[in-house]
Amino acid sequence: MEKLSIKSLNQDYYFTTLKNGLEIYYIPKKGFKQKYASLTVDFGSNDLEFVPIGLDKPIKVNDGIAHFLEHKMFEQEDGVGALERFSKLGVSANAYTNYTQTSYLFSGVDNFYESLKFLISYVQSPFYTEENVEKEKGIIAQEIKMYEDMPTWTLMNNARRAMYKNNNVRISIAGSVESIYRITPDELYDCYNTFYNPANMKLVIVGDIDIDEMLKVVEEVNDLSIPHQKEIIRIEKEEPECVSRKLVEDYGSISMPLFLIGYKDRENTKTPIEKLKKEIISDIIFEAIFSEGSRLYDRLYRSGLLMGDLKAGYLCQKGYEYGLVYGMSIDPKKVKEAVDEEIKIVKKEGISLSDFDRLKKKFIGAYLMTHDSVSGLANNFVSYLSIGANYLDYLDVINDISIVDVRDRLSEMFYEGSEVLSIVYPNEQKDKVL
Amino acid sequence: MDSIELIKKDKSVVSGIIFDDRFKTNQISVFFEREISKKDITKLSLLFNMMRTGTIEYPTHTDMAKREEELYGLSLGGSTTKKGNKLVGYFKVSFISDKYIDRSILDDAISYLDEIIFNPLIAYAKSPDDIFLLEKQNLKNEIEAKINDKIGYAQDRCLELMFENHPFSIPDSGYIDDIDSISQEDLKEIYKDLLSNSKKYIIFSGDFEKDSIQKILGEKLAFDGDIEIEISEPCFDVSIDKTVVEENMGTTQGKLVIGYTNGINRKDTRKRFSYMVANSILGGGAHSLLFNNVREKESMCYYISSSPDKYMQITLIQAGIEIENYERALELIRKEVEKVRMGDFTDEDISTAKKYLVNARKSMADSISSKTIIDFDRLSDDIQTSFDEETAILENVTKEEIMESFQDMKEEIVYFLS
Repeated sequence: MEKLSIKSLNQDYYFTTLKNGLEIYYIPKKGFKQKYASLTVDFGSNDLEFVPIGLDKPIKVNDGIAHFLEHKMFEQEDGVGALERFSKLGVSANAYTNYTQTSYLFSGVDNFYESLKFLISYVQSPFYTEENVEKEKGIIAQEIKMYEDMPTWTLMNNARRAMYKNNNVRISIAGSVESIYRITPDELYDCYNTFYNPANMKLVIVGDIDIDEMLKVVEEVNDLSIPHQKEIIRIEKEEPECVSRKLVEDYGSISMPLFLIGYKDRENTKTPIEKLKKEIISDIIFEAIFSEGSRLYDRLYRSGLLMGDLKAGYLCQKGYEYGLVYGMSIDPKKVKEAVDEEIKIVKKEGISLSDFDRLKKKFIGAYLMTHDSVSGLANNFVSYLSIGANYLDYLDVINDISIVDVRDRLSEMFYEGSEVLSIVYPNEQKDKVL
Repeated sequence: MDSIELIKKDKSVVSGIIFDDRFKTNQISVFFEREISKKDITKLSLLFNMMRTGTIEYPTHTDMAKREEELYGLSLGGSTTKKGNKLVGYFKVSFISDKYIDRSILDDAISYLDEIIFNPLIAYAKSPDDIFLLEKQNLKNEIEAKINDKIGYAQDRCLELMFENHPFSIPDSGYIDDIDSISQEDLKEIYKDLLSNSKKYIIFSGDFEKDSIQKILGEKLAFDGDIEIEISEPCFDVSIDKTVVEENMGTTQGKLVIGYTNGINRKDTRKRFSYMVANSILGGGAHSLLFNNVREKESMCYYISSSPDKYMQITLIQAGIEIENYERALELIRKEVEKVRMGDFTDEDISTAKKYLVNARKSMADSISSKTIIDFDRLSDDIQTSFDEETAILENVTKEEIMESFQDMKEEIVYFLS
């Protein structure tokens, strides 16, 4: 494996690509007992229209299929579920699906190599039948209903639907009860055969392990007969710059209204480093405006309009970019007014050098803290791979950012028609006139 | 674990270091421990919140936030929580080790924690009335907001119904109805009481040197340790009015919680670990009987688990189910509980549960905050067996011991939120 070093972090890492295109990353964490491995597929809930390997016309699949496929992955032909096998090895296994990736992972202290072997082999063995697909529908339907009971989920889901007209990020990851009931085994195989090919996957390992032993295990179990293809044609939809709806209101079982303001942004970055830099600069701007040390927060806090903090951040993802801020308030529309005023001022006056310097330190500290958890480091690393960026570059990138970068970014952000306000009111307010 | 090296031990103050240089973050924690009481709980809850709104040197939350940002994003935590009939309040600071940044922030970090604990505005000056009212409102909102989390709310309600008029039923955030009448004077009083009538534990976790810490403790975080603190032995009797309680809040998914008493004494190490294995077999994860037989085989629920509380000698089994499956789910769950009591599980079930628990225990060594909490718990509960000795006991418990530990499992109440 190729060894690379990030001097500023005092951290090495290793990388290689196997014959069948599988990329392997290893980040050593000496002295840590926990070891973590994640096999990630470049296939998420946004991938709903694509050209299958070997064909020349695109097909459309049902909402929620990537997540459904992830659930079904655990089923094995011999009847012993994958989770059970991992349990017997004494490691903790899990999987998750988001808009752009599906990850299968495990973490544990003992039996690492055997577990790794099993991780790769079970992801390479899909097993879908009419019966097991039907059974899973019941479980996933329960999962969807569990989310529907969560007001914060409703808040976020509504915001995304209002922000995006065509982009699939407007569709919730698990799909809907209706869409999942339409899924068939054939459809699952279509998705699996195209996306679950080694050249479209990455293996990330974090912990204190023996590289040679690890490579030996991976090469042993890797099925080289699986056709591999890195380039997969995914049909993207045209998306307007502006949001679809500016205001969306809903109700839930909560004691105080929840609000979220989403700020849609233009996708104008070309390289992964540019995307990473844009995300950090935008994150700094959002902190400057909304964090606990800010002028706006002080004003909102003293007015009694806010309960708790404002959480704010910016996401530069594959296929979409937006910033958001959310919290709880007795009068979300009043909060929005105050936010609008503040953004006007900040766009005019900019962010002070002392605020910028101080916030940079805060970000550096927050970033370094993520290195203290094997799973935190691994999850972040996997996540940034979806935009092609290396999470370990973060410190150097942030040290490179200047106040001029912030000024330039600020002039592009918060443009006319980019915002959406999503509110979830307590159920009791349903009958009152708003 | 048991990596805590004691520096000093007085009648009511204990200080120690957990040395670990693998992390980029260091942590300093101060724990206050006292007996829980209905009359003090709300005041203490409010006090811990107020103490993080301003100090003599950093009077406003903006001053505090800016100071923390300046110290490379130092993170200040503070809260109150319960351990059976004990109330534990803590403050902690987590900050980047000097090794990874351009300047040393260690002294500043300790001074900041010292400032929060010894110079809160609420104790020495008058907090602005608007801030005081705001924080009161925030605490009310915090207590009311627990309604948002249906799963957590169902658990809390079940506990409340099991231990009416008992210290175990006192909620750690306090009572909404008590908040309005609390004055700043009340908080000044309870602050003095907190400092003098609590056991205090000061723990340094991370890349620290004993000598330099000893020197610091002479000047900073200097509590008076010469007082004897009494905490009474808790009683574990439940007082149930109805054995089945149903409430309606219009949820999409039904939340079922079954409350059991388990009769497991924290000091009986072998029995405690036998029970831990038994509970893991029953509902401690994807390997468990509940997960496989109620969720996987019957598609009855999305989440299902059994969780013991070591301090209250109880276990809660909880599941998210379709409302119309209530009777069936209850029947299935009861069947699985009986299986464990009767020994209807395999050697493989035992081995898997043990592996799972041992893996979880060993993993805790990789987190500086987990290590701190675990070592604090052991110190305060006066657990003599070492962490590794406990792991060895866990690995050795027999099937008979596992079954035996489940004999006192008694279903006390069924709570259903729909």
